Order: sequence, then structure tokens, then C-alpha cells
Amino acid sequence: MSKMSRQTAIVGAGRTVGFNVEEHTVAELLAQAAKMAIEDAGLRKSDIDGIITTQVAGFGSDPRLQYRFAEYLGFGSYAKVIDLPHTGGMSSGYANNQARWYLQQGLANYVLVLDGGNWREQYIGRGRDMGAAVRPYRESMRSPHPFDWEMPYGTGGAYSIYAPVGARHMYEFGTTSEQLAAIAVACRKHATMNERACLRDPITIDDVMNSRWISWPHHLLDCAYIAPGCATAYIVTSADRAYDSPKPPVWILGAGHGMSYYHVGNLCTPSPEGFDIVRTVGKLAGDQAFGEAGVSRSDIDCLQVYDSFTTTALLAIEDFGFCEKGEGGPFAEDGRLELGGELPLNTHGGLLSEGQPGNGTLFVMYEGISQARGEAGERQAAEKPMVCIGGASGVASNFGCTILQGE
Amino acid sequence: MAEYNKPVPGVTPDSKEYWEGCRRHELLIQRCTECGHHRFYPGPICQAFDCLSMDFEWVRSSGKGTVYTLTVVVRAPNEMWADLAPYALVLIELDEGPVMFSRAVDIPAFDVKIGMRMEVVFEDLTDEVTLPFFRPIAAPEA
Amino acid sequence: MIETLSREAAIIGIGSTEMRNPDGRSGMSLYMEAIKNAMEEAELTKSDIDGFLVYPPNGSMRFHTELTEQLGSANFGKSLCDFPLVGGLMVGLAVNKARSAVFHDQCKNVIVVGGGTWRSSSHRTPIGLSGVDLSESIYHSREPISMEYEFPYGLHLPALAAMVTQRHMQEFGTTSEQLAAIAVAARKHAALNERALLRTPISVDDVLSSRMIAEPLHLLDCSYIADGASAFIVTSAERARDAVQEPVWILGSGQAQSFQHMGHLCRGSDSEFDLVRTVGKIAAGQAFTQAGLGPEDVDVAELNDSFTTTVLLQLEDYGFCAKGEAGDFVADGRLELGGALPLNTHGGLLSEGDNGLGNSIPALIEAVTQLRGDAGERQVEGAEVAMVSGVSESLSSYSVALLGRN
Repeated sequence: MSKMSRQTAIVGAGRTVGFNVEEHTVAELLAQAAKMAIEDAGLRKSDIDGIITTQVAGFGSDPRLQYRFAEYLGFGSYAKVIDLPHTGGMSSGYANNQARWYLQQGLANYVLVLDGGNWREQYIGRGRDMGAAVRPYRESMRSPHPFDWEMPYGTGGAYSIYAPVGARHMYEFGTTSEQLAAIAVACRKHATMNERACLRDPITIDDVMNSRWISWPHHLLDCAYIAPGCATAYIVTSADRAYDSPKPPVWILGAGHGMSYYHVGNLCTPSPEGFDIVRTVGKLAGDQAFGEAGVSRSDIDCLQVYDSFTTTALLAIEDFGFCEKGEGGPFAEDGRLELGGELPLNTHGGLLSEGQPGNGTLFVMYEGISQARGEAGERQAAEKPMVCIGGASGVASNFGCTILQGE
Repeated sequence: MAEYNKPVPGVTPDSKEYWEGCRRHELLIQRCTECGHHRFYPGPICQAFDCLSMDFEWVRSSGKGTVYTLTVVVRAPNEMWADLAPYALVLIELDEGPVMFSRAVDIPAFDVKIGMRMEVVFEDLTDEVTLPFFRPIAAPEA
Repeated sequence: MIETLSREAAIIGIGSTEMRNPDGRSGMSLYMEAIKNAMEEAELTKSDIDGFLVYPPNGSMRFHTELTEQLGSANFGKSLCDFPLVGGLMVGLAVNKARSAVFHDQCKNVIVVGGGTWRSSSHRTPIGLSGVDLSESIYHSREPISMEYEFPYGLHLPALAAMVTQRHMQEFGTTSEQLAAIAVAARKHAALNERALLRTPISVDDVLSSRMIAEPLHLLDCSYIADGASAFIVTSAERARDAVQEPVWILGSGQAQSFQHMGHLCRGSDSEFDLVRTVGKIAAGQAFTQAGLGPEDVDVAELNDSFTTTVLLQLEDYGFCAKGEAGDFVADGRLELGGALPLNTHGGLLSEGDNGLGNSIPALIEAVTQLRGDAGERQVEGAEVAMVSGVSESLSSYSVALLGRN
């Protein structure tokens, strides 16, 4: 076992301006983000010899999309490493670890990590026929698809299967809708300072409570805002190259990930290790990342997490260890998650207010990089913040955790 | 039978017995013949801690269980479901152990609560597919 | 900070199903049988496995999570669960991820599993053999896809490989007889492998007189589609020393990717690479460097043989012979048991069978079997170093692993 902490750094980052997809394909947006990251790092395209692409929404079901992409961007020529983690919204911690492994083995010098999507068009413009997605699976696998056990009852995307997680948390720990709402309020407050954010009007807890039910116990404002197209990219390199770029490096202090089940029924069944639907493997991810970084939770100046729903952020706060299990509700109160509070959460507004154009996990990462670089302007959490970044996927099934710090 | 306009599950080698049971209005789950662990949804291998047995039998579940958690879907996923919303999706912890996904019927959606006792009830959706739903157990249980 | 990880991880368990599926079992069931066999061989329990690299039968994005879920409660919380890439690349990529995960203590034991139900499946795709419905991704997305410029003309995988072959023949004078020698060697070995589906010996003439699939590739130049699954388990050096089975060490692994669009492959770059000079050279170079070995040190090669041409290109690009000379190299039984470079001693995809996206795992399992000295009649005496490879179906991306005896 070798020590990986501070052996790799982020030396470039890019994010397309605003959100739009009317006149751009996702591929174009990704190309833009990649170009921005490469220029930010003071590199040339040919320096990039590793590419990690998340599952980019809008590219259909082709598992080879990473090649199509690399080729489209003109990177495909002779990259040594092209990877596509199938880990959804938890991809940040995961991709960071994969990138570190490639760098550590000398398989690549600069790894470009990409994410993007246009969920708004996909989900709202066209609807989403899960039946069509399931059919080829069944036919070729001749195994039941996990959706077979849920979809016929009327599930239709993450919102209807995440809500039971929130309901169980309320039942076991007495968490209230007002406490969940405090998470949405904090994120919106931060979004008002972020020009990129889709939703920038301040809201109150009452506003959240009075927004319509989407899937009880989640109100409209407990749910991420599905955004038009956007893409983001960043570049990871090894310590020996970290100072070759114009901007000071952002060091990866630690990264970890934990995965579990997908089917909600199985998530409800407690595991021998004590995990279940409200005690997530975010604990594995957090313990790994903090253990490796050798820092404590109280060292963290801001937390950027995948907040597909207020409940998702709540679980990350608890399971990463920022408070005891079940105490996430009270922890979210009293402005503790707002800038100026104890643990500012999603200083860009999160997926709840900045918007979620796709998996979204790397947009959270992008804000973390901006914070670590001290580039977050009036949203800056501290002068040289130590940042914790979290991603989640499945039904809070899988978590990734990364800890960053600027130079 | 009237045209059913919502998604129906597909029948595969692993799930064939289950769906045939549903058509007979029997809720079948698998029981590992080595360690006795019950599992749902159907699969080829025992899910119990460190049991690797691929031998199992189909047994009839009591069809009774407890609401582990739920949601009331208010915003329908798409037009297909608009006539039904709001509806309560439930996770039922069967008395045999496994937790299965379903929808509550015979009760207003917002009246469903965690911990409520429920029993299975079958609805024939099409000539081929019957789906198990859950309704509150009316009388006090012995 | 570069650490090659040579001999830092080892393979301590292997497991397979038959290459056929007469009862029409589900893919999941086949995968579970392979996993169970590998775990039982290694005497590991479910809770010992905390990493899963799963090659789904059909490109499904969620199969890996479903598989671990069906395996059950002991695997609720795990540290690695991914479907890393697809196709021929799996060996190098999976080996790399698995050994990094155990080396960095992310995982204790990582299981890699793949396979499919290609033969028994009712699901047929526009490109015939890939197991992935490209039509969906082409026509249901407005994003740019290079395949849009190829598949509408009637391209399928054998045709793609045939175009590569044609170019090799044109540039280097390679003949169909030479290609056939690769298929003949594989079949000869398959005759000694009970698991192989095609075990009747064939001659060069048999290959040449088999029906033409896409000029110049005959039926017997193409892999034989099968069902089945196989799995292997990777652990750290420390744990490997306590393993029940004799560990087989990972000496090196490498990978390199290029283009998918054939036009780019032909003339896509200013580099030394093109359609018949592949990036396999980079992949093998990485593996050899890590291992501190060269082609001359390889005692047995289990290389991806989706087509006879696939082997031909690799022999050249991995450095077993000079570019353009593989046609001559494969003559005179050099690839047969007893020859200078025994190749695909199990029969390969050509004769043992080709079971889908994880189709490099059977080759890796054969390499492990050889290095353990368990290959019986087809044992390569004194085998110390084995090479395993994976190649993408478009012959554009390559991965290589070098394995060594305990």
C-alpha cells in the first residue's frame, strides 16, 4: 500500500457558461469544457493522454460513448487510457480515484475528467419511456430487469424512489420537512451569488413547504432543478507536473467510494455491516477519504455534495460524519449550512438551485475546485478552504467522497 | 379485457415462476434449500450472508407484511400515470423477511403510514400479467 | 511516484461455466455460477469480496449493480463496483483497476466477471455480433456518432475486420493460407480442451473452403459465438501468500485506445499508427516495461482472436515478429503446442467459443491454468510467463496483461 494523499493535483478546470442546449449538442458543450480546462492548465491537446468520461446524458445507451467522445474531441488518436465509469452521480470520488490510479502507475500523465448532459431536453422534451430501455435488456439477458419490480407500480425516475428514503428518515429519526427545507434554503441563498445558477430568487422555509408535492415527503423545492445543457471538465496530474501549470495546484488529499444495491426493497433490508436505506455506504466513502487525508471533519470549510434531493444531501452530511446518524435534521437548522455558518453547503447553489443538467456530480466538483483555488468571489467560504466533495448515485446506493485543498 | 396502458413487467427464465404464481393469485418467493433464507426479487443465488447456494424452492408467501417506507407520487411520471396520481408507492416488509416494492390500494394515498399492516391483493392487468398490490388488513390479526 | 505494481497483486481464483446453455438459463444465473466456482476454488466467502468489475452481457449500464445485489447481503457495502469499459479492452483495464484497488487497500479481493448469452439470445442486432443495439444509440440521439457514417452502408464486424485484413494483404503480401494457419492451431488445441465447442481437427483447406463471410474472411476465420460466463479473483501480494491456490502474479499490464471511425483509423493521425499498425504496440510496451520483460520471455500467449486477423496484427505489434511478417511467422506450426510460441492453447474464441463482452476472461483463465501447471494434455512445459490480451471489436483498442508463475 502506498500513500496517495497529495500525490495528485487538479491543474485545470472548465465549465461552459450558463445553461443552454437549444443551439448546442452535449458533445459540443463537452468540447468547450475540455478546451477551457486544457487552456486553464496551460496544456495542449496532445498532452492529454487519459480521459475519464462519466455517463453523459443525451448519448443514448451506447456503452462505447467514451470512444465516440474522444474521437469527436480529437483526443482519441492515441490516448493510453480512456475510461467510462458506470457509476452515475457518485462519479466524482470514483473518477478521482481512477485518475489517481492511472497516474500512479504511469499509464497517463494528464487525465481529463468530463461530465455533461441535457436532461431537460431528455426528460421533459421527450418524456422517458423506461419500458423501451428495459426491453432490449430483458431480451438479450433473459434476466429480470430491476425496473420490473418497481416500474409497473408507477415509479418514473429518481424522484419517486428517493422520496421513500426521506420518509423512512423522518420515521426513524423524527426529521421534519422544515429541516429538509433548510437545506434547500441554504442552497438558494448561495445561488443568489452565482451568476451561473438557474434559480436565484431567495426562498424561505415556508416557500419550500408551500411548493407543491412532487412525491411526498418531497416538495417541488426539495428536488433538483433539471437544467438545460451544460458541461464541465477538469485535469488531474501527478505531483511532479503539478507546478508546470499557470495556476497553483489543487491537491487531492483523499478520495474514497462505497457502493451498495439498487433495488429499493433490498436497500431496506439491513446488511450485516449495519447499512440500510437511511444508513448508507457514504460512511465507507467518507471514512476512506478522511482516513487517507488524515484530516478531521472539523477541518472542512465547505461541503459540496450531490443534492438530487434535500434528502440526498442530508444523508451525505450524516454518513460522511459531519454529525451523528439521525441528527442531520437538527444540524441543517439555524443557518449552519449557509455561508458564514459552521459548514457551508453547496456554495454554488447545488443541483437544487444551480441546476442539474445530467449526472451533475462534476458540477459539484467544479465548485469545489473554484473554492480551493479561492476563485469563488463573494461565495468564497474561507481564504484557503479545505473542501469536501460528495457524489451519490442509485437510490443513495453509492457514494463518492473527495477532499481537496489549494496550494 | 380492457386495454392496459401502463408498463408491464417482462417474463424471463428467473422470474417465470413468480409471474405464473401471480396469475394464480399466489405470491411466490424463493427459499434457499440450504440455509432457509427467503429472497425477493427472483434470482439464481441465495442472498443470505455468505451462503452461495444456487438451490432453492418456490414457496407461497403469507402475503402479509408491514409498510417499511413509502411515498405518495403526486406529480405523475408521465401522461400514462396521470389518471392514477396521487398514489402511494410502498415498500412492504413481508413477514418472511424480504422487502418488496408495490402500490397501496383500497386506501387514500395520504392515509398510508409506515408500520401499517398490509396484505397482498392481485389485479389481472392483462391476459398475461397479474400484479400484486397491497391493501390494509382490515380486521385485527390473531 | 510511479510504481509499476509488478508482482503487487495476484490471481488466486478462477471459475467458469460451460460455453453452452442448453437449458436457456438467464445470463445472471451463468454469471453467478462462474462467481461461485471462482470463490469456492479460492475458498473465499461472499464477505471477502469487496470489489466487482462486471462485464455485462449486453452493455446494460446497471447490470453490475444488479449482480452484486442478487449475490446478496454480504456484499451490501463494497468499495468497488463498476462496468469498466467494454469489449476486448477488458483484460488490461480490469487487471489494472483490480490491482490498483487491492494495492491501495481500497479492496481486499476484487472479482472480475463477464460472459453472455449471445448464442441462445433472441436479441439480434444490426451489426450481428456485438450484442449492443447500435441502432438505438444512432437513431435516438442527436449527438454526433461516427458509426452513422459506416453502418448505414451495411457494415458488420466481420466486414470491418475484413477491410483491415485486405489492407494487410495488400501492404505485406499476407495470404489467406497464412491466416488459416492461425485457425488450424486454435482447433488443434481445442481438441485437447473439453470445454471447447469446436473440437474436430481442421486443415488449412477446410478454412479456405468454408463459406465466405466478408472477403477475404471465411467462416472459420471468425470466432464461434457461444453462451457462458467466467470469473477471476485478484488480491494483494500480502493476501496472495495465504491463498489456497497457487497465486499467479500480475507482472504488467497496459492498454491503449485509438479511433472508432475506420476513416480515422486509416489515416487519422500524424503518428506511426494506422489501420494495420495498431496501438497494441503501446499496450504491450507498457506491460513489458512494467514486467521488465520482452516478447522473447513469453512462454505461452492467450491472445484475443475475434478473427484470425486479430492475432496477426497483435503478433506484429506486440513485437513477436517484425511488422508485416506475421504471415510467415504463423507458418510451420509455430503457434501450436510444441512450437516456439504456443498460442491460444484452449482453442481461443475461434474454437473454444466467444461468449461476449467478457470474452477475454476465458483466455486469462487458460493462462492461469497454464502457469499453475494444471493444463493437462495441453500443458506448455515449464511455462513461466504468459501473455493475455483483449482487443476491441473494431480492432482499434488493445489491452495486454503479463502473468507469471509463483
